Amino acid sequence: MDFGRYGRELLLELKRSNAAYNDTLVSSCLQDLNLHVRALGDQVAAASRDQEASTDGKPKLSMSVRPSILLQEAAIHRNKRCLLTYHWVRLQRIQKQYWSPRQEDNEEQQQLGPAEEEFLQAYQQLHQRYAQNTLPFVDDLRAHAGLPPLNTERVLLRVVTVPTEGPVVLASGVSVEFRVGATHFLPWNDVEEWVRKGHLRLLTGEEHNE
Amino acid sequence: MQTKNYFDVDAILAEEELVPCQSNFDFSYLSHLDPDERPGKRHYLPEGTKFKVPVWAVEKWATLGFVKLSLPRHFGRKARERIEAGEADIRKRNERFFIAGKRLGDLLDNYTAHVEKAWRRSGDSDQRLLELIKRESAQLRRTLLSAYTGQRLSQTLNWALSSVGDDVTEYTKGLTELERRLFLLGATSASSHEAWKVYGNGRLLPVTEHKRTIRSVTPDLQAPGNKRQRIS
Repeated sequence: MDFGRYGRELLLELKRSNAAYNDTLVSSCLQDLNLHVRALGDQVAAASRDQEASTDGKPKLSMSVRPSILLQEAAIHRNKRCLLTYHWVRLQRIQKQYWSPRQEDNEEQQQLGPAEEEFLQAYQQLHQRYAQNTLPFVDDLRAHAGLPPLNTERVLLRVVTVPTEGPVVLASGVSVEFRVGATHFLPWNDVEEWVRKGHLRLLTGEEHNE
Repeated sequence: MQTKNYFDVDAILAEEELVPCQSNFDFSYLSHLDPDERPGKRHYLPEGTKFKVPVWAVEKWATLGFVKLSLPRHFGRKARERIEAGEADIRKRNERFFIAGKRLGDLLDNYTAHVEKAWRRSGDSDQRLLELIKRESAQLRRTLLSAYTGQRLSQTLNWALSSVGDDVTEYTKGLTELERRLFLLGATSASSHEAWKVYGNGRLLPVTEHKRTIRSVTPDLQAPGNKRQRIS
Protein backbone atom coordinates (compact mmCIF):
# COMPACT_ATOMS: atom_id res chain seq x y z
CA MET A 1 0.00 0.00 0.00
CA ASP A 2 1.78 3.15 -1.21
CA PHE A 3 0.03 6.14 0.21
CA GLY A 4 -1.22 8.35 -2.64
CA ARG A 5 1.19 7.11 -5.31
CA TYR A 6 -1.38 6.24 -7.99
CA GLY A 7 -3.28 9.47 -7.42
CA ARG A 8 -0.06 11.43 -7.89
CA GLU A 9 0.72 9.57 -11.12
CA LEU A 10 -2.77 10.30 -12.46
CA LEU A 11 -2.29 14.02 -11.91
CA LEU A 12 1.23 14.03 -13.34
CA GLU A 13 -0.12 12.38 -16.46
CA LEU A 14 -2.76 15.12 -16.71
CA LYS A 15 -0.05 17.78 -16.56
CA ARG A 16 2.23 16.08 -19.06
CA SER A 17 0.04 15.34 -22.04
CA ASN A 18 -3.32 14.94 -23.73
CA ALA A 19 -2.90 11.18 -23.51
CA ALA A 20 -5.83 8.76 -23.70
CA TYR A 21 -7.85 7.88 -20.62
CA ASN A 22 -5.63 5.69 -18.45
CA ASP A 23 -7.99 2.96 -17.36
CA THR A 24 -5.20 0.92 -15.73
CA LEU A 25 -4.02 3.74 -13.51
CA VAL A 26 -7.57 4.68 -12.52
CA SER A 27 -8.25 1.04 -11.57
CA SER A 28 -5.05 0.93 -9.52
CA CYS A 29 -6.03 4.11 -7.71
CA LEU A 30 -9.50 2.75 -6.97
CA GLN A 31 -7.97 -0.51 -5.74
CA ASP A 32 -5.61 1.45 -3.48
CA LEU A 33 -8.55 3.42 -2.11
CA ASN A 34 -10.44 0.21 -1.35
CA LEU A 35 -7.40 -1.20 0.44
CA HIS A 36 -7.27 1.89 2.64
CA VAL A 37 -10.98 1.57 3.39
CA ARG A 38 -10.49 -2.06 4.38
CA ALA A 39 -7.43 -1.25 6.50
CA LEU A 40 -9.33 1.55 8.23
CA GLY A 41 -12.22 -0.79 9.02
CA ASP A 42 -9.86 -3.46 10.36
CA GLN A 43 -7.95 -1.03 12.54
CA VAL A 44 -11.11 0.57 13.97
CA ALA A 45 -12.56 -2.90 14.70
CA ALA A 46 -9.33 -4.02 16.39
CA ALA A 47 -9.10 -0.78 18.35
CA SER A 48 -12.73 -1.04 19.48
CA ARG A 49 -12.02 -4.51 20.87
CA ASP A 50 -9.00 -3.18 22.80
CA GLN A 51 -10.64 -0.02 24.07
CA GLU A 52 -9.34 1.34 27.34
CA ALA A 53 -11.59 2.65 30.03
CA SER A 54 -11.17 6.36 30.64
CA THR A 55 -11.34 8.12 34.03
CA ASP A 56 -15.04 8.87 33.52
CA GLY A 57 -15.84 5.26 32.68
CA LYS A 58 -16.51 5.85 28.98
CA PRO A 59 -14.45 3.69 26.60
CA LYS A 60 -11.94 5.45 24.39
CA LEU A 61 -9.51 4.44 21.68
CA SER A 62 -5.89 3.93 22.60
CA MET A 63 -3.69 6.89 21.58
CA SER A 64 -1.24 4.67 19.69
CA VAL A 65 -3.81 3.62 17.04
CA ARG A 66 -5.20 7.10 16.36
CA PRO A 67 -2.38 8.28 14.02
CA SER A 68 -2.79 5.25 11.78
CA ILE A 69 -6.57 5.62 11.65
CA LEU A 70 -6.21 9.31 10.74
CA LEU A 71 -3.60 8.48 8.10
CA GLN A 72 -5.86 5.88 6.47
CA GLU A 73 -8.70 8.40 6.39
CA ALA A 74 -6.42 11.06 4.88
CA ALA A 75 -5.26 8.58 2.22
CA ILE A 76 -8.86 7.73 1.33
CA HIS A 77 -9.73 11.41 0.87
CA ARG A 78 -6.52 11.95 -1.06
CA ASN A 79 -7.22 9.17 -3.56
CA LYS A 80 -10.80 10.36 -3.93
CA ARG A 81 -9.64 13.91 -4.64
CA CYS A 82 -7.10 12.74 -7.22
CA LEU A 83 -9.65 10.57 -9.02
CA LEU A 84 -12.30 13.30 -9.08
CA THR A 85 -9.77 15.88 -10.27
CA TYR A 86 -8.50 13.59 -13.04
CA HIS A 87 -12.01 13.08 -14.39
CA TRP A 88 -13.09 16.69 -13.88
CA VAL A 89 -10.08 18.12 -15.74
CA ARG A 90 -10.50 15.69 -18.64
CA LEU A 91 -14.19 16.56 -18.94
CA GLN A 92 -13.35 20.27 -18.94
CA ARG A 93 -10.86 19.67 -21.76
CA ILE A 94 -13.42 17.71 -23.78
CA GLN A 95 -16.00 20.46 -23.42
CA LYS A 96 -13.42 23.09 -24.34
CA GLN A 97 -12.44 21.03 -27.39
CA TYR A 98 -16.09 20.85 -28.44
CA TRP A 99 -16.64 24.60 -28.19
CA SER A 100 -13.31 25.74 -29.63
CA PRO A 101 -12.55 24.45 -33.12
CA ARG A 102 -8.91 23.65 -33.65
CA GLN A 103 -6.95 26.70 -34.73
CA GLU A 104 -3.53 25.30 -35.63
CA ASP A 105 -2.62 21.98 -37.21
CA ASN A 106 -0.04 21.22 -34.56
CA GLU A 107 -2.42 21.75 -31.65
CA GLU A 108 -2.79 18.46 -29.81
CA GLN A 109 -6.32 17.16 -29.33
CA GLN A 110 -7.39 15.34 -26.19
CA GLN A 111 -7.47 11.61 -26.90
CA LEU A 112 -10.69 10.09 -25.62
CA GLY A 113 -11.56 6.81 -23.98
CA PRO A 114 -14.79 4.93 -24.85
CA ALA A 115 -16.75 6.45 -21.95
CA GLU A 116 -15.51 9.90 -22.89
CA GLU A 117 -16.64 9.38 -26.49
CA GLU A 118 -20.09 8.56 -25.16
CA PHE A 119 -20.01 11.67 -23.00
CA LEU A 120 -19.06 13.80 -26.00
CA GLN A 121 -21.90 12.38 -28.08
CA ALA A 122 -24.39 12.91 -25.27
CA TYR A 123 -23.08 16.47 -24.79
CA GLN A 124 -23.46 17.18 -28.51
CA GLN A 125 -27.02 15.83 -28.53
CA LEU A 126 -27.88 17.92 -25.49
CA HIS A 127 -26.52 21.01 -27.18
CA GLN A 128 -28.38 20.29 -30.41
CA ARG A 129 -31.67 19.73 -28.57
CA TYR A 130 -31.22 23.03 -26.76
CA ALA A 131 -30.25 24.87 -29.94
CA GLN A 132 -33.21 23.48 -31.91
CA ASN A 133 -35.64 24.54 -29.23
CA THR A 134 -34.24 28.02 -28.71
CA LEU A 135 -31.90 29.10 -31.47
CA PRO A 136 -31.97 27.31 -34.84
CA PHE A 137 -28.32 27.83 -35.66
CA VAL A 138 -26.64 24.82 -34.06
CA ASP A 139 -23.34 25.22 -35.86
CA ASP A 140 -23.28 28.95 -35.38
CA LEU A 141 -23.05 28.57 -31.64
CA ARG A 142 -19.84 26.73 -32.12
CA ALA A 143 -18.32 29.02 -34.69
CA HIS A 144 -19.23 32.43 -33.34
CA ALA A 145 -18.04 34.25 -30.28
CA GLY A 146 -21.33 36.11 -29.88
CA LEU A 147 -24.97 35.21 -30.49
CA PRO A 148 -26.03 34.70 -34.13
CA PRO A 149 -28.87 36.71 -35.68
CA LEU A 150 -32.42 35.48 -35.17
CA ASN A 151 -34.49 33.99 -37.96
CA THR A 152 -36.50 37.05 -38.85
CA GLU A 153 -33.76 39.61 -38.45
CA ARG A 154 -32.57 41.42 -41.56
CA VAL A 155 -28.83 41.54 -42.02
CA LEU A 156 -26.46 43.59 -44.11
CA LEU A 157 -24.63 41.53 -46.70
CA ARG A 158 -22.02 41.95 -49.38
CA VAL A 159 -21.90 39.64 -52.36
CA VAL A 160 -18.56 37.85 -52.62
CA THR A 161 -19.51 35.42 -55.38
CA VAL A 162 -22.87 35.16 -57.15
CA PRO A 163 -24.82 32.30 -55.55
CA THR A 164 -27.39 32.11 -58.30
CA GLU A 165 -27.54 33.85 -61.70
CA GLY A 166 -30.26 36.29 -62.59
CA PRO A 167 -33.10 37.66 -60.44
CA VAL A 168 -34.32 35.34 -57.69
CA VAL A 169 -37.36 35.47 -55.38
CA LEU A 170 -36.45 34.54 -51.81
CA ALA A 171 -38.70 32.56 -49.43
CA SER A 172 -39.79 35.77 -47.72
CA GLY A 173 -40.99 37.13 -51.05
CA VAL A 174 -38.13 39.56 -51.59
CA SER A 175 -36.83 39.68 -55.14
CA VAL A 176 -33.10 40.25 -55.59
CA GLU A 177 -30.41 39.98 -58.24
CA PHE A 178 -26.90 39.35 -56.97
CA ARG A 179 -23.87 41.07 -58.43
CA VAL A 180 -20.33 40.76 -57.08
CA GLY A 181 -19.55 43.61 -54.69
CA ALA A 182 -23.17 44.65 -54.23
CA THR A 183 -24.63 45.25 -50.75
CA HIS A 184 -28.05 44.00 -49.72
CA PHE A 185 -30.25 44.11 -46.60
CA LEU A 186 -32.06 40.78 -46.51
CA PRO A 187 -33.80 38.42 -44.03
CA TRP A 188 -31.28 36.11 -42.41
CA ASN A 189 -33.49 33.07 -42.87
CA ASP A 190 -33.33 33.48 -46.67
CA VAL A 191 -29.60 33.92 -46.98
CA GLU A 192 -28.17 31.75 -44.21
CA GLU A 193 -27.18 28.94 -46.55
CA TRP A 194 -25.34 31.27 -48.94
CA VAL A 195 -23.51 32.95 -46.06
CA ARG A 196 -22.37 29.56 -44.77
CA LYS A 197 -21.11 28.64 -48.21
CA GLY A 198 -19.21 31.89 -48.49
CA HIS A 199 -21.13 33.45 -51.39
CA LEU A 200 -22.30 36.30 -49.14
CA ARG A 201 -20.50 38.07 -46.32
CA LEU A 202 -22.12 39.58 -43.25
CA LEU A 203 -21.25 43.21 -42.68
CA THR A 204 -21.10 45.40 -39.62
CA GLY A 205 -21.74 49.11 -39.79
CA GLU A 206 -18.00 49.90 -39.94
CA GLU A 207 -17.24 47.62 -42.88
CA HIS A 208 -20.17 49.10 -44.82
CA ASN A 209 -18.21 52.33 -45.00
CA GLU A 210 -15.16 50.72 -46.67
CA MET B 1 -13.15 23.61 0.32
CA GLN B 2 -14.19 25.62 -2.73
CA THR B 3 -14.56 23.84 -6.07
CA LYS B 4 -11.80 25.86 -7.68
CA ASN B 5 -9.16 24.79 -5.14
CA TYR B 6 -10.44 21.25 -4.79
CA PHE B 7 -9.75 20.49 -8.45
CA ASP B 8 -6.55 22.54 -8.68
CA VAL B 9 -3.94 20.05 -9.92
CA ASP B 10 -0.94 22.14 -8.84
CA ALA B 11 -2.38 22.68 -5.35
CA ILE B 12 -2.88 18.90 -4.98
CA LEU B 13 0.62 18.10 -6.21
CA ALA B 14 2.11 20.80 -3.98
CA GLU B 15 0.79 18.85 -0.98
CA GLU B 16 3.18 16.03 -1.90
CA GLU B 17 6.00 18.07 -0.34
CA LEU B 18 7.64 15.91 2.34
CA VAL B 19 7.67 17.42 5.84
CA PRO B 20 10.19 16.29 8.48
CA CYS B 21 8.37 15.13 11.65
CA GLN B 22 9.10 13.56 14.98
CA SER B 23 6.56 11.32 16.69
CA ASN B 24 5.50 12.32 20.20
CA PHE B 25 4.47 8.76 21.20
CA ASP B 26 4.37 5.23 19.77
CA PHE B 27 2.36 4.95 16.53
CA SER B 28 0.80 1.51 15.99
CA TYR B 29 0.77 -0.05 12.49
CA LEU B 30 3.15 2.59 11.10
CA SER B 31 6.56 1.03 11.51
CA HIS B 32 7.08 1.26 7.73
CA LEU B 33 7.37 5.06 8.04
CA ASP B 34 10.70 4.67 9.88
CA PRO B 35 13.44 5.01 7.23
CA ASP B 36 15.82 2.89 9.36
CA GLU B 37 13.31 0.17 10.21
CA ARG B 38 14.19 -3.44 9.44
CA PRO B 39 11.15 -5.28 8.00
CA GLY B 40 9.35 -7.44 10.53
CA LYS B 41 11.27 -6.08 13.52
CA ARG B 42 8.29 -4.35 15.10
CA HIS B 43 4.76 -3.23 14.28
CA TYR B 44 4.85 0.26 15.66
CA LEU B 45 6.75 3.49 15.15
CA PRO B 46 8.56 4.31 18.40
CA GLU B 47 8.28 7.66 20.16
CA GLY B 48 10.87 10.16 18.99
CA THR B 49 11.34 8.63 15.52
CA LYS B 50 12.25 11.14 12.83
CA PHE B 51 10.60 10.55 9.49
CA LYS B 52 9.08 12.41 6.54
CA VAL B 53 5.49 12.42 5.31
CA PRO B 54 3.62 14.53 2.73
CA VAL B 55 1.75 17.66 3.83
CA TRP B 56 -1.64 16.06 3.16
CA ALA B 57 -0.80 13.15 5.49
CA VAL B 58 0.59 15.15 8.41
CA GLU B 59 -1.98 17.93 8.61
CA LYS B 60 -4.34 16.21 11.03
CA TRP B 61 -1.47 14.89 13.14
CA ALA B 62 -0.07 18.40 13.43
CA THR B 63 -3.31 19.98 14.63
CA LEU B 64 -3.73 17.24 17.26
CA GLY B 65 -0.14 17.52 18.47
CA PHE B 66 0.85 13.96 17.52
CA VAL B 67 4.11 15.11 15.92
CA LYS B 68 6.67 17.90 16.07
CA LEU B 69 7.10 19.63 12.71
CA SER B 70 9.99 21.34 11.00
CA LEU B 71 10.53 22.83 7.58
CA PRO B 72 12.01 20.86 4.66
CA ARG B 73 15.63 21.73 3.91
CA HIS B 74 14.92 23.74 0.75
CA PHE B 75 12.51 25.93 2.73
CA GLY B 76 14.90 26.28 5.69
CA ARG B 77 16.88 29.32 6.78
CA LYS B 78 19.99 28.80 4.62
CA ALA B 79 17.94 28.03 1.53
CA ARG B 80 15.80 31.11 2.13
CA GLU B 81 18.89 33.30 2.35
CA ARG B 82 20.11 31.98 -1.00
CA ILE B 83 16.69 32.54 -2.55
CA GLU B 84 16.53 36.11 -1.27
CA ALA B 85 19.99 36.70 -2.69
CA GLY B 86 18.79 35.40 -6.05
CA GLU B 87 21.32 32.58 -6.10
CA ALA B 88 18.94 29.62 -6.10
CA ASP B 89 17.24 27.76 -8.94
CA ILE B 90 13.79 27.79 -7.45
CA ARG B 91 12.14 25.46 -9.95
CA LYS B 92 14.86 22.85 -9.39
CA ARG B 93 14.06 22.77 -5.65
CA ASN B 94 10.34 22.34 -6.22
CA GLU B 95 8.32 22.85 -9.39
CA ARG B 96 5.52 24.21 -7.21
CA PHE B 97 7.78 26.08 -4.82
CA PHE B 98 5.49 29.01 -4.07
CA ILE B 99 2.31 26.96 -3.74
CA ALA B 100 4.07 24.38 -1.54
CA GLY B 101 5.69 27.12 0.51
CA LYS B 102 2.38 28.82 1.20
CA ARG B 103 0.89 25.46 2.11
CA LEU B 104 3.71 24.82 4.55
CA GLY B 105 3.25 28.25 6.09
CA ASP B 106 -0.45 27.50 6.62
CA LEU B 107 0.42 24.11 8.10
CA LEU B 108 2.85 25.62 10.59
CA ASP B 109 0.37 28.32 11.60
CA ASN B 110 -2.39 25.72 12.16
CA TYR B 111 0.05 23.60 14.12
CA THR B 112 1.11 26.40 16.47
CA ALA B 113 -2.46 27.61 16.96
CA HIS B 114 -3.85 24.21 17.89
CA VAL B 115 -0.89 23.11 19.98
CA GLU B 116 -0.84 26.40 21.90
CA LYS B 117 -4.55 26.00 22.71
CA ALA B 118 -4.04 22.42 23.86
CA TRP B 119 -1.06 23.30 26.00
CA ARG B 120 -2.93 26.19 27.57
CA ARG B 121 -5.71 23.78 28.59
CA SER B 122 -3.34 21.13 29.92
CA GLY B 123 -0.89 23.48 31.56
CA ASP B 124 2.04 22.13 29.52
CA SER B 125 4.18 24.68 27.78
CA ASP B 126 7.13 24.84 25.45
CA GLN B 127 6.83 28.47 24.44
CA ARG B 128 10.35 28.56 23.09
CA LEU B 129 9.55 25.88 20.52
CA LEU B 130 6.30 27.54 19.53
CA GLU B 131 7.95 30.94 19.13
CA LEU B 132 10.64 29.37 16.96
CA ILE B 133 8.07 27.76 14.69
CA LYS B 134 6.04 30.98 14.44
CA ARG B 135 9.17 32.89 13.51
CA GLU B 136 10.10 30.29 10.87
CA SER B 137 6.62 30.50 9.36
CA ALA B 138 6.70 34.31 9.23
CA GLN B 139 10.16 34.33 7.65
CA LEU B 140 9.12 31.73 5.11
CA ARG B 141 6.14 33.85 4.06
CA ARG B 142 8.38 36.92 3.74
CA THR B 143 10.83 35.00 1.57
CA LEU B 144 8.06 33.66 -0.66
CA LEU B 145 6.59 37.13 -1.07
CA SER B 146 9.89 38.82 -1.86
CA ALA B 147 10.97 36.07 -4.27
CA TYR B 148 7.66 36.02 -6.13
CA THR B 149 7.00 39.76 -6.34
CA GLY B 150 10.55 40.90 -6.97
CA GLN B 151 12.54 40.81 -10.17
CA ARG B 152 10.99 37.47 -11.20
CA LEU B 153 7.50 38.97 -11.42
CA SER B 154 8.53 41.99 -13.46
CA GLN B 155 10.53 39.80 -15.85
CA THR B 156 7.66 37.34 -16.20
CA LEU B 157 5.14 40.07 -16.99
CA ASN B 158 7.53 41.77 -19.36
CA TRP B 159 8.18 38.58 -21.31
CA ALA B 160 4.51 37.55 -21.25
CA LEU B 161 3.29 40.82 -22.73
CA SER B 162 6.06 41.37 -25.26
CA SER B 163 6.84 37.93 -26.69
CA VAL B 164 3.95 37.32 -29.11
CA GLY B 165 5.20 34.89 -31.73
CA ASP B 166 8.54 34.32 -30.00
CA ASP B 167 9.99 31.09 -28.71
CA VAL B 168 9.91 31.52 -24.95
CA THR B 169 11.09 28.03 -23.94
CA GLU B 170 14.40 29.31 -22.63
CA TYR B 171 12.70 31.71 -20.28
CA THR B 172 9.75 29.62 -19.09
CA LYS B 173 11.81 26.53 -18.25
CA GLY B 174 13.07 28.34 -15.15
CA LEU B 175 9.61 29.33 -13.91
CA THR B 176 7.61 27.54 -11.25
CA GLU B 177 4.11 26.29 -12.10
CA LEU B 178 2.44 29.34 -10.53
CA GLU B 179 4.64 31.68 -12.55
CA ARG B 180 3.97 29.69 -15.71
CA ARG B 181 0.25 30.12 -15.16
CA LEU B 182 0.75 33.86 -14.83
CA PHE B 183 2.95 33.89 -17.93
CA LEU B 184 0.32 31.99 -19.90
CA LEU B 185 -2.41 34.44 -18.89
CA GLY B 186 -0.27 37.38 -19.93
CA ALA B 187 0.79 35.79 -23.21
CA THR B 188 -2.79 34.82 -24.06
CA SER B 189 -4.08 38.34 -23.49
CA ALA B 190 -1.19 39.81 -25.50
CA SER B 191 -1.97 37.42 -28.39
CA SER B 192 -5.67 38.25 -28.20
CA HIS B 193 -4.81 41.92 -28.32
CA GLU B 194 -2.63 41.41 -31.39
CA ALA B 195 -5.36 39.35 -33.06
CA TRP B 196 -7.87 42.10 -32.38
CA LYS B 197 -5.56 44.67 -33.97
CA VAL B 198 -5.16 42.48 -37.06
CA TYR B 199 -8.79 41.44 -37.56
CA GLY B 200 -10.60 44.39 -36.09
CA ASN B 201 -13.90 43.84 -34.33
CA GLY B 202 -16.05 42.76 -37.25
CA ARG B 203 -18.53 39.88 -37.10
CA LEU B 204 -16.97 36.47 -37.59
CA LEU B 205 -18.02 34.30 -40.52
CA PRO B 206 -19.80 30.97 -39.94
CA VAL B 207 -17.40 28.15 -40.76
CA THR B 208 -19.56 25.07 -41.23
CA GLU B 209 -19.25 24.12 -44.89
CA HIS B 210 -16.44 26.04 -46.43
CA LYS B 211 -12.81 25.59 -45.48
CA ARG B 212 -11.63 28.20 -43.06
CA THR B 213 -8.93 30.48 -44.33
CA ILE B 214 -7.93 32.08 -41.10
CA ARG B 215 -4.35 33.24 -41.21
CA SER B 216 -1.93 32.54 -38.43
CA VAL B 217 -2.60 34.80 -35.46
CA THR B 218 1.07 35.79 -35.28
CA PRO B 219 1.22 39.36 -36.54
CA ASP B 220 3.85 40.69 -38.89
CA LEU B 221 6.88 41.18 -36.67
CA GLN B 222 8.54 43.46 -39.16
CA ALA B 223 5.69 45.94 -39.11
CA PRO B 224 6.66 48.93 -37.01
CA GLY B 225 4.67 49.61 -33.89
CA ASN B 226 3.34 46.05 -33.69
CA LYS B 227 5.60 44.86 -30.90
CA ARG B 228 6.38 46.15 -27.47
CA GLN B 229 10.03 46.69 -26.80
CA ARG B 230 11.23 44.18 -24.24
CA ILE B 231 12.96 45.77 -21.29
CA SER B 232 16.03 43.71 -20.49
